[in-house]
Amino acid sequence: MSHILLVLLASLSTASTLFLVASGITLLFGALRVVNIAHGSFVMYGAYILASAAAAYGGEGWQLWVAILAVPLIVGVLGSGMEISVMRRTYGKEHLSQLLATFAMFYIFADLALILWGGSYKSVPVPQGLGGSVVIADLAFPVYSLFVIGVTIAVAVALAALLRFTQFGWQIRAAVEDPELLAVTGVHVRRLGTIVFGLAAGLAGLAGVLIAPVQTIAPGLDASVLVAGFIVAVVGGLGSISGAAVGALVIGLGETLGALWVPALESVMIYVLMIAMLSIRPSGLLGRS
Amino acid sequence: MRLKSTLAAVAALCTVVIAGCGGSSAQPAATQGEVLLGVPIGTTGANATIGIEGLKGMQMAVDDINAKGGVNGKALKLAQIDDAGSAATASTNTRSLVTNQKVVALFGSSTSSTAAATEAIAGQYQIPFVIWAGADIGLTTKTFNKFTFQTKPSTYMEPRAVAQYMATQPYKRYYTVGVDISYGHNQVDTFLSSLKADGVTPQVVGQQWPAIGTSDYTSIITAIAAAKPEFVFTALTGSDLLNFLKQAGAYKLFQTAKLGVTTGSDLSLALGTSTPPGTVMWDSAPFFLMDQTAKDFADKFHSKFGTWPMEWPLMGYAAVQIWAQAAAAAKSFDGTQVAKAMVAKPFSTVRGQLSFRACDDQALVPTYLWVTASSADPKYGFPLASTSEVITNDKNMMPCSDAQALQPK
Repeated sequence: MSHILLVLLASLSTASTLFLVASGITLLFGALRVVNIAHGSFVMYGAYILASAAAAYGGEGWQLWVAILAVPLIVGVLGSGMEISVMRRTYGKEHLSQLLATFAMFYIFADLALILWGGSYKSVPVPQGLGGSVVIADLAFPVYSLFVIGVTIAVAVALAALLRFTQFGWQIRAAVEDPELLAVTGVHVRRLGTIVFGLAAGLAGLAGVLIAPVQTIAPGLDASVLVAGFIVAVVGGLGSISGAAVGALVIGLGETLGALWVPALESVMIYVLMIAMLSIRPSGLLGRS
Repeated sequence: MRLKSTLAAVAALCTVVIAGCGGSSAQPAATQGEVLLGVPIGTTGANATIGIEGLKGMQMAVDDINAKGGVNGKALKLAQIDDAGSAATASTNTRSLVTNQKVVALFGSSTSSTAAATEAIAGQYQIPFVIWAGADIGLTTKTFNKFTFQTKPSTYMEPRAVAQYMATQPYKRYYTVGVDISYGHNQVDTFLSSLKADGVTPQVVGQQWPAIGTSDYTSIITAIAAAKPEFVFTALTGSDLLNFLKQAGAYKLFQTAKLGVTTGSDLSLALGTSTPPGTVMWDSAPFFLMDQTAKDFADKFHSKFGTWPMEWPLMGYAAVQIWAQAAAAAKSFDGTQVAKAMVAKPFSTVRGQLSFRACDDQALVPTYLWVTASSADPKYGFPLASTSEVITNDKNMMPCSDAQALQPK
């Protein structure tokens, strides 16, 4: 019984950061029809900027908490900047141009990160008060993982509320349905696109901030989170935020159970699940056919 | 519109071509009175630390040797290109170093796959290649050539050394975690078979094979906790190992199972006071367990860089020392002459006396094994050893007949 609980909590922990990465990817595709190969770069920058803040102000104390709150906003601004300077020039053109543009940005961001932070590992301590573990049914579970799960649930609820109950959310949903009609109603579609890009980047930055204390930050982090994020978004249904949540849960559970029951396939479980989903329902779990 | 598109495509093509040429044109060229030592090694990617730290040791060796007049009247200079751990890039870079930079020796690599790529080029152009990281047994057997020299205990030797130690311990229930490449499988398979050969019947309660570059080990840690092993043998390196340790520590895995990890001195330095006590660690060059020469090197390294050295600076320093002594003995930089000198006699290095076997150019080098102390040493900032052992590895090397049977004809 205790092991089942540990498996469920571990799955939720894995699913949490997957959801934060995938939600940004799916939001961009849903609202702007953009597949952003550079999305993983925002995650990496979130982690690196937090590492710099931790090194500058000391790894513990209130300064780290301020950095945790500020870094996603900084990365969001970076995302908006990318939208204004690069992506706007690709709207209306064939998708290959957009894909190549984001692909180029991926490499530019990667090289820039090498110049800014070098090639060696960076590390961020777990924030004060979130270290240690709690005993749940005789098994230890990290307090920090519970924190990550809690933050992710709060973000998911806030995102759902934003999309459902605010004018901004209505505009995004309208942009998904019929962008030309939305423009005719007087909504500044370009500005909406910039804000959506910033929101997606901010979500990625938040993922970077949350994973930084439990993973080493090094070149290559962008690529490793990007693949997993895309798979979750595809499994859930590109364009669907709730799909991203369900997809993250499916992948998180699949990885945890895969490690438990079929360890030889653990490293490929995420791909097996994706192929299985695409074979059964190509539009994803909650995507539109 | 068509002109704009054409111009854009041409600009993009030019950018790609220029980016492709940019790497090699940035490399140093040898001037009169100096020779270049090629270092095709990753300084980015999962094993970046190996390259970054090893290069520091190599540069210190070059500076020390140049201060004493160089080798054969020439000063030494390093020429390094980053391969980011990619074998294909390592192959391209090595060829560039040999054909464009005209290096007289090669040193590396941060992974066994990049070492194999460099080894092939070294053999083709008959340039001595001194391996100080990258320990796959295949490098001295299946892909071996007479210009390759292995200074690290191989994946045949190291797990046998660990098994030799573990056979004296009371553990029965074992769990293994090995990176899903040749290195990981070799290490785990050899460790388990060696335990059996040493009279221990391990009960393997589970095995995991995470892909290289795995960053989230939650699912694997959960599986390990569920299996309740007494000892977890890991064959992970670099950031993969650091990630595993960081995350496993949060699940208090080390309170219920003992952990065995390679590159112990790297981890201790990276984790500092967070290094789990009671962990079985092994390494090729932990300065704090070696003789005074190594400790003096550590003090010099600390004065220069402000940190204590992992094993890689000592490995890199010793590699340059070996080649320099061989080239001096051969009175030549010719690859064939230096390769002959490499197996002719022992060398004095910062790692102690070191010699190569003629049948496979594998150095007879020890594996240092220790159990981490319960608290950090005030001078070094990480736990030293509560107990330690030096496994000489003379009985752990692959028999020459077996090695030669596997080598290319």
